[in-house]
Amino acid sequence: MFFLMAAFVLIIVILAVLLILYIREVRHLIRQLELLEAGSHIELTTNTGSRVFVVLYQKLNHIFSTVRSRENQHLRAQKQLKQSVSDLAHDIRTPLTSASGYLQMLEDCTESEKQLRYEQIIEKRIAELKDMLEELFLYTKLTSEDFSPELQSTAVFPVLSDCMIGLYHVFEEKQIEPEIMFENEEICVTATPEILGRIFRNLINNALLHGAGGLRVIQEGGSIAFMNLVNNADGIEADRIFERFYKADSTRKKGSSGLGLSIVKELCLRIGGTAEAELVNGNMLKITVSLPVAKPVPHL
Amino acid sequence: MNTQYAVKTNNLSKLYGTKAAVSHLNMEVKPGEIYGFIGRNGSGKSTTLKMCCGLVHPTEGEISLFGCPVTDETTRRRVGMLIEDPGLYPHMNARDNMILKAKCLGLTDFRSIDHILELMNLSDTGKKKTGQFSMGMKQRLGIAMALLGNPDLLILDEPINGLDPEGIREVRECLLTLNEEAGKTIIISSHILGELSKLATCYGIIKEGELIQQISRKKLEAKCRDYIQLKVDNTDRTAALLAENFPDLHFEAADRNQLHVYDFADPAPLTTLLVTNGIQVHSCSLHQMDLEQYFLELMEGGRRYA
Amino acid sequence: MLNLLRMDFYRVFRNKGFYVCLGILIFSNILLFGLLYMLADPSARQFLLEIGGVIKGDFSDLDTFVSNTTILEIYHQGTVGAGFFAVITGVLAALFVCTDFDSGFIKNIIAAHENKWDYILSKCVCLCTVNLLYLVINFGVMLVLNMAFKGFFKPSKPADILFYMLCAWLLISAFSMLTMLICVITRRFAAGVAWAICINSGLVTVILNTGLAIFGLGWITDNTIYMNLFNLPQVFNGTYVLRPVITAIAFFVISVILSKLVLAKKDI
Repeated sequence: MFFLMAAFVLIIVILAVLLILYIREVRHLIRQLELLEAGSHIELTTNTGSRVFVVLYQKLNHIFSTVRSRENQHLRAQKQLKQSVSDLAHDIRTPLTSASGYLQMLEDCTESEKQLRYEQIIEKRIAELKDMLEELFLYTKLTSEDFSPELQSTAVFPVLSDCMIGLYHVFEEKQIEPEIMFENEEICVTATPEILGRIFRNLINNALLHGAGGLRVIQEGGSIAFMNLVNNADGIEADRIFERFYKADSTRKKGSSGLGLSIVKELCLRIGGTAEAELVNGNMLKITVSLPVAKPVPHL
Repeated sequence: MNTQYAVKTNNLSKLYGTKAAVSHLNMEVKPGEIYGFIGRNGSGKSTTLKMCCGLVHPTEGEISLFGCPVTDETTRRRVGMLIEDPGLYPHMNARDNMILKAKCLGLTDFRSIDHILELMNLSDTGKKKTGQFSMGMKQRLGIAMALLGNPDLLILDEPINGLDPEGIREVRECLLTLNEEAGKTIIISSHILGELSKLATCYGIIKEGELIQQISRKKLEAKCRDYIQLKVDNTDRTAALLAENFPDLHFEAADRNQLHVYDFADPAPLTTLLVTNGIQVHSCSLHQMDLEQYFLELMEGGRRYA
Repeated sequence: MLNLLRMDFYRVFRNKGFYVCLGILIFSNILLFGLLYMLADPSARQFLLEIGGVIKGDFSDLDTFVSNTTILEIYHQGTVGAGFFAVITGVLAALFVCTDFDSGFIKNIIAAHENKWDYILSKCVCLCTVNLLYLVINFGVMLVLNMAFKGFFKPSKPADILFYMLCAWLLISAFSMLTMLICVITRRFAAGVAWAICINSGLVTVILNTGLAIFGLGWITDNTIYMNLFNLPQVFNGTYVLRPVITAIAFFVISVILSKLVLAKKDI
């Protein structure tokens, strides 16, 4: 009888203790939630360590950290956008300032020879500005949802050759002789000639404008690699090269909007391919575009 | 809440016998700041920081963290601290020490431990006991332990003590990331003023237990600008021209080709004057004294900057 | 408090100290048992003489002595009553508490736990649990050995065992708390160990007793933990129960309260 009473009392005591502990734990949780409401980011902690509460805290922590990382992502995207706009403004400002300055000099100038020269320079700057804005509008068009070109089987080699010929004068000026190594000159991909042309032109331009010489184009299956020497391989981050306005050296070269390679990547993605960059042998930049291979169309 | 301070002390004092280690300290740290706490050895830095963590009870005055008193235990969970030497059990390895601290705090998920150890480059210490760690590793582990539980406020007393330049850079980048991305408030005290000047957004200078100055980085930079440095080809002629046209100007010839002009705001009139008079101005810049010099002068009670 | 308790248990069972001390105690008990067996058992005695040992004395009483002694008495006479047990647990307690202060980990603990009771109580529960484990495991070893040697010593009644264990546990835990108090005051491992060795072994108490007995004040030392442990009966009889229990609880509670006050007063 005595033992029964003792056992009974013991059980009551244990239950009472558990109840008190649980209530205190809930109060602790409420207090921590108050802190989180106030803007804290602390990880929720337990006072008692009972299994149910541990699981509860783990789940709550997970939810809060997910929300927070999404917020961070959003903030980062906003920051990136602001940075892009700022970069663009910066790029536009330079030719505009130059043109405006020359205009002022033109007003003060009396020699007709100098006047002519100034006028030519102003024209050139405005043309640069126009090109830059064209690129930007093209980029915006490409990244919008409405862009859906009619893709068909397009022969690669002819498009590449056209681009090369189109830029012949620049090749001559820079004294670069491009090497083209095609595994299969009949290869076709699903694209349009315009898109392919734009991709190749931008890649060749990139090599000519920013490279240190040499251009090699290698085709294997659906992958076409553009390789050129570079001066400051250490300053180039290969995985950032497709970012809008990313320029490897801070002294931005004239005549480049910083969007060329972004457009290349965007176009590749749109037609179902990929674009990758890597540094090879410590002094060469290799950009590989991989495009979906299509059945060759019989020659017209 | 953004209207309250992360740390606010009100008339804080600590007396040991009759000697006041800290007296009437009024420190204010805004949330999201990196507060650089500067002071000589024995000036009361560690004591103040210990009081902010609740390790030492103040003789007088109060401390509030995020609007709540420092004695409130839940608010204390918002603070991560590393004061003096990192408290580590020497016979246990890094991970065990972290686990013990995690249990002490009541953390429910131990995956964050591995994540933080990786952040501090301590993942590959394995079974090595902390007693055998180098000083730099101990410091890094101390910082790692302070990061457990994702605190909103980090109080670090000489965290880069004993680290090599690589380690210092890593810690600096880590702290900057934590401040920018996670919005953590950081109070950091250090002797290495050069390092501190790369991090801090606000400074608190303590001398003999008293906070003699609390100043934001911008205001400090403004104060540190002391003279305009002119590099010219003919200092004699320049000196004459300046004296003629700006009679009250205080300047001195510092070198064969250099002149220092004090207490003058805008260099434009000077350069225009010199150029129109045929002097070749090679460079004209605003010289700024570095933090160390400013601090030393302040401590010496030297030149006053209004 | 429960967080700190979990932390303390993790530390105790993760470190070698716990197992080393337990090993020492188990080894001592085995040694004691073995020695008595060697001397009391006729066949063993014969074996000793054969291997060239010389045994002095008369052993006729020893057989009756052995069959009349309970295992509990042997346990008591061995490590517990003499103070060796208390010394070992005292040293373990000193090690446990002083490492916190020496290493500086106490900063981490107190920064997270403002309420000093959390720290004191968790140490208290942890050390008491360790003491209980030690007592039970060691007694278990003795029982096993006794059974292995076919009931060499007389078995004790369960009620006696329960009573003895409870009182011994309370007294030894009181010793641990006293050691903890010294460690919190001095924060030095050397001081804690010195205290454990001098006080827990009864060295100081015995000297004090001898001195006070001259003046007829010997009854004062009868209220110390050591004397109670030394004189702890191995059989459960009514009235004598109270004194060890009350002494133990008194010392226990006072040490715990003082520890908390000292810890709260001093800075970290």
